Amino acid sequence: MKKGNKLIGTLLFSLAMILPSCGGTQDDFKGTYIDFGFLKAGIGTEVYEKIAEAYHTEHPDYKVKLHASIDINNIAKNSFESGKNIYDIYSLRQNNVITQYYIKGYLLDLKDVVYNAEIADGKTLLELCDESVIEYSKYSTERDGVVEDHFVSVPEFVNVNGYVYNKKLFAQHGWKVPNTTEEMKALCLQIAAAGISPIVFCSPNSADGYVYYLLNGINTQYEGIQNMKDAYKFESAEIFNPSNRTGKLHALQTFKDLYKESNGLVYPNSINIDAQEAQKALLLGRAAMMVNGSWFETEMRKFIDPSKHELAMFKVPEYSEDGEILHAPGYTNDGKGIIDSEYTAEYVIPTLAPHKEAAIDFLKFMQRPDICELYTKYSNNIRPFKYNKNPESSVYSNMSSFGKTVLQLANENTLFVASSKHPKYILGEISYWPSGDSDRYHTNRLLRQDKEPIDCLEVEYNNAKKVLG
Amino acid sequence: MNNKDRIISSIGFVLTLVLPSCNAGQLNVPAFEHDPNKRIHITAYSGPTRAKLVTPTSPETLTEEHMRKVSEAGFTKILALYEGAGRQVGNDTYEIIENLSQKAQEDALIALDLAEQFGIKYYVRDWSFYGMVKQYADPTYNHPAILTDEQYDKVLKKMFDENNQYIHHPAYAGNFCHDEPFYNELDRIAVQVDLYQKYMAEQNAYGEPIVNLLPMTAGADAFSGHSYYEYVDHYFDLIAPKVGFVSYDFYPFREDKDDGSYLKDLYVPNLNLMATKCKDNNIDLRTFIQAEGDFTGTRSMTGAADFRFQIYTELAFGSKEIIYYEYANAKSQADPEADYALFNTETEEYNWTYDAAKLVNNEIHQIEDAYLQYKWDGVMYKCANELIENIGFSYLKGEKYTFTSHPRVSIENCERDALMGVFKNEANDDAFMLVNYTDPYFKFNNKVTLHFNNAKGLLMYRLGQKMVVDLPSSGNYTFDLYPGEGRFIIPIN
Repeated sequence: MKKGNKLIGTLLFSLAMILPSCGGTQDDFKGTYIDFGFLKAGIGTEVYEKIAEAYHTEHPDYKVKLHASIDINNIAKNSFESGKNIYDIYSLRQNNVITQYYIKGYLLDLKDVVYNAEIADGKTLLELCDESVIEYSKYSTERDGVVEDHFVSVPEFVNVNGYVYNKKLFAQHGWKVPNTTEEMKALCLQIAAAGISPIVFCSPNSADGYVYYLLNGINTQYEGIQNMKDAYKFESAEIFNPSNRTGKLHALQTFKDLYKESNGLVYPNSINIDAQEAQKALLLGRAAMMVNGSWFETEMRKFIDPSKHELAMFKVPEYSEDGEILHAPGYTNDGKGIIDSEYTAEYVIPTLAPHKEAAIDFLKFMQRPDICELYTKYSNNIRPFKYNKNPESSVYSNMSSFGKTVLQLANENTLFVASSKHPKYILGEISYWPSGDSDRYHTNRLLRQDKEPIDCLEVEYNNAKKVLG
Repeated sequence: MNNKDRIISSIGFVLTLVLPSCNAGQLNVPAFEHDPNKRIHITAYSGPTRAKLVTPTSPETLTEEHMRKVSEAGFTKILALYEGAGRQVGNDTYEIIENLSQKAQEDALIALDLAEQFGIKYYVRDWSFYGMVKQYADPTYNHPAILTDEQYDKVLKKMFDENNQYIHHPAYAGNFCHDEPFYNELDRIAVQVDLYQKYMAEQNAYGEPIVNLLPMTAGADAFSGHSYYEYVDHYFDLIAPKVGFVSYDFYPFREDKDDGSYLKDLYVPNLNLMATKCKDNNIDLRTFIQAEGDFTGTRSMTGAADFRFQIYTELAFGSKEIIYYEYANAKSQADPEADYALFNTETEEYNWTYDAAKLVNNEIHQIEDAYLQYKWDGVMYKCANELIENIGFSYLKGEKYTFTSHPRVSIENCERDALMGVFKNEANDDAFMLVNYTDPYFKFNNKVTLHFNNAKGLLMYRLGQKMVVDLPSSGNYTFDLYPGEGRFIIPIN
C-alpha cells in the first residue's frame, strides 16, 4: 500500500469508528423509542417495518424499535417474571398462557384504554372488532356477585387456512377445486393419474405439521358454530365421548384415507420432511396441494417464480357422503361458510412497560382501518376487525393472486375462532384436541402406528374423564 | 514454502514454545496438585445398554469395549437411561415395583461391574423408583396408587433394604429419581428423597438421588401458575439442602430457517439464576449440554466448538458437572428426525460427535486441577457493539453477582460479545474464565483485550494446554479466542 493510500485508509477507518458515536444511537433521533417484541416467523418483518414507519410519520417524536426473535414467547415470560428488560408492547402466542399472565398482573387491562377507546370515525374498537375477538380476549372476574370484564389482548391476525395450490398447474390439467371430501378424494386420484403427488405435508415435528387445519376444518364445518362453542365450555368429559364427536371421527378418517402413504396420494416421505422442503415440493410441481396458512407466500417468496406460479388457496372441503354434505344435529352457521381459524398472535402491553401511554397509543393506531389495510397488504393476513377486505379494492391492487384469494376466503366465510376461559383450559390441562397437539398426536397414531380414529377418540375420552371427571 | 522458509518458521515455532517458559521463570506460577477425587465430572446421559432395550433389535452394548470408549472420551459418570426397564408384572402396585426393581438390579450390577473397571461412577435407573411420584399417583391407575407418606415408606424401605446388592457397589453413584419435575411434584419428590437417604443410611450406603429441573424455557403449564423463579426457589427450599446440588437442562442452540442457527437468549439468565442460588446456598451447580439436534428444533451439532461453547460458558458460571444429552441412542419410530448421539446403540457405530466430545472433554480435564481450586464469584460481560443488544447479557444488568468493574481486571474491548466468569480461591486469589460468546455455528474468532491490574503475568489454559505469559507494562493482553473457546486465566506475579 502506498503512503497516500495508507493515510486515506487510516482516515476512513477513524471516521468509521467515530461516526457512530457522534450519533449517540443508530441515528440522530432524540425522541422516545417504543420497544416492540414479536415473533420472527413466516410472516416476515416487512409488515412491522411499514407500520412502524407509518406511526413515526404521524408521530415524529416516537419511533418503534422492532425486536424480532424466534424465542420471543420465552423472552417475554422471563421478562414478566423477573421484572427485567420489559418491552413496551409484545405480539405473543398461546392465549391460555397470555390469560395466565393477565391473572398474575403482568398485563394491562385493555378494556378502557383500547377497546372502549375511539379508534376511527367515532367508533371504538369494540364496535370495530369481529364478535369472536370479544369472546377470545375477554376475561371475566366475579366479586360480590358483580361480574367485571377485562380485556387481556388484541388479536393480531386471524389465520385463514386451507389448501394452497398452483392455479397454473390446475389450469394446465383441467383440475377443479373440490368442495367436499368426496370431490377431494376424486381429485387426488385424478392428480395421481397424472404422475404428480396430490398432497404434500410436513412432519408433525416441523412447523406443527399443519395438518390440524384439515382435522379442524372438517370437524368444525360438520359440527357448526354453536356446537363448537358449547364444546369449548368443557362442561363435562362427555363432550369427548366418541359417540358425541362424529365430526372428529369423520375428520380423522378422511385424514387417514388421504394421508396414509400406502394409499398413494401423498408426496413420498412427507411424514419426515420439514415444512420448507414440503413447500418447495409444491412449488416445484412435484405435489399439487398442501394444507397451509395465509403466510405461505411471504414465507416462500424467494422461491416463487411468477412465470410458473400463480398461487391460490381453497378452503378445507366439507365432509360428504354420497354427494351430500353432512352436518351434526344442532349445526348452525352465520349464513356463510365456516373456516376454522385461530388468532395466531396477540398484542399485549405489560403493566411495567416503560412507555405505557405511548404503547397504548401505538396499539390503538394499529387497529385503525387504514393500518389494518396496510397490515393485510404487506402480509396477506387478515385482521379480525371491520375494514376494507375487498380484494378488488385499489388498496390491494398490487397484491398477488394468492393474497387476493385469502381476502376472498375471509369475505365469503365466517372465520370461526374457538376459545375457552375454563380454568383447566387456561392452565393447559384440557384442550379440544389432546394436549393442544392434535397434529403430532394423531399423525403418529394414525399414520405411524396405523391406529384407527376410534382408538384416538377413546384415548381422548379417557384423558378427559381424568381431568374433567 | 522453500527450505529456508521452513527453517525460519521452525525456529520461530520453537522460540514461541520456549520463550514463555523462559519468562515464566521470573513469575510465581502456582502449582495445582492432581487429586483423583476432585474432577470436573463429565456425565454421559444414556450410556451403553442391554440388548433389545432401545429397539427390538438393538444389540448388547454393555460390554468392556464400549465402556472403555466411554472412559477414553473423558466421561467420569454415566446416568442410566434404558437399562432397568422392564415389564410391569404383578398383582398389585407393590408386587409390580418389586419385580421392576429386581430387573433393574440385574442390569445395574452388570453395568456397575463394567463401570468400575474403567473408574466410572454409575447412576442406576430403577424404573419403579424413577418418576414414582408421577407414575403411581394417577388415581385411575389400575392398581392401588402410591400417594401417601406411608405408601412411599413401604416401597422405599423394601427397595433399599439389605437385599439390595447394587447400593454397596464401589461404582454406585446414586439413583435417577426424577427428570424435569413440575412445580406440583416437588413436594412428593422431597419425601422420596428423604426416604431414599434414610434407608440408604440404614444400610451404611451412600448415593445421590438425581433430580434434574426444567429450564427457564419450559412451558407455563409445568409451573401451575407459579413463575420459574418460584419453581427454583421451591427446589432450593425443599430438595437442594438434602442433595447438595441443582441440575437442570437448557439446550442453547436452535435451528433458524433464515440464519441456520439461533443462540437462545435465556441461556445466560438461566445460568445466572442457578449460579446465584448455588452461591447463596453453598450448593453445587450441574448443567446439561446438548450433543445432538432433535424434532423440537434443537439444532444439530456442527463441530467441536459447539461442545466447547456450552461447556466453557457453563464453567464460567461455576458448573461442577457437565452432563451430555445424550451419549447413546438409536433412531426411534416416534422421533425419526432426531440425530444420532455420540454412540449409535443400534449399529454400535460412533458418530463424529464422539471424537469431538472426546477432544473437548479431555481438554476440560486438563484444567480441572486449577479450576476446582476456585469458587464462582460472579460474572462480567461486554458487548462488542453497545448499540447491538445482547438480550441474554441484558438480564445480567444489576444482578447480585454481576461485576460492572473488578479491581483486578477489565474487559477493554472485544471483536464480538465476551463473557467472563470471575472466581476466587481460599487465599482470595483471582481467576477468570473468558468465553467467546458467539454462536459457534457462525465460526467467528473473537479478539478480546483484557486489562489486568497488579499482575506481571498470566497462567492460562488454552484448549487444555497450560501456558504462562508475561504481561506488558500496560497490563493489557489480547486473547484471540477460537469459536466456542473459553480460556481459564489466573493472573500471577
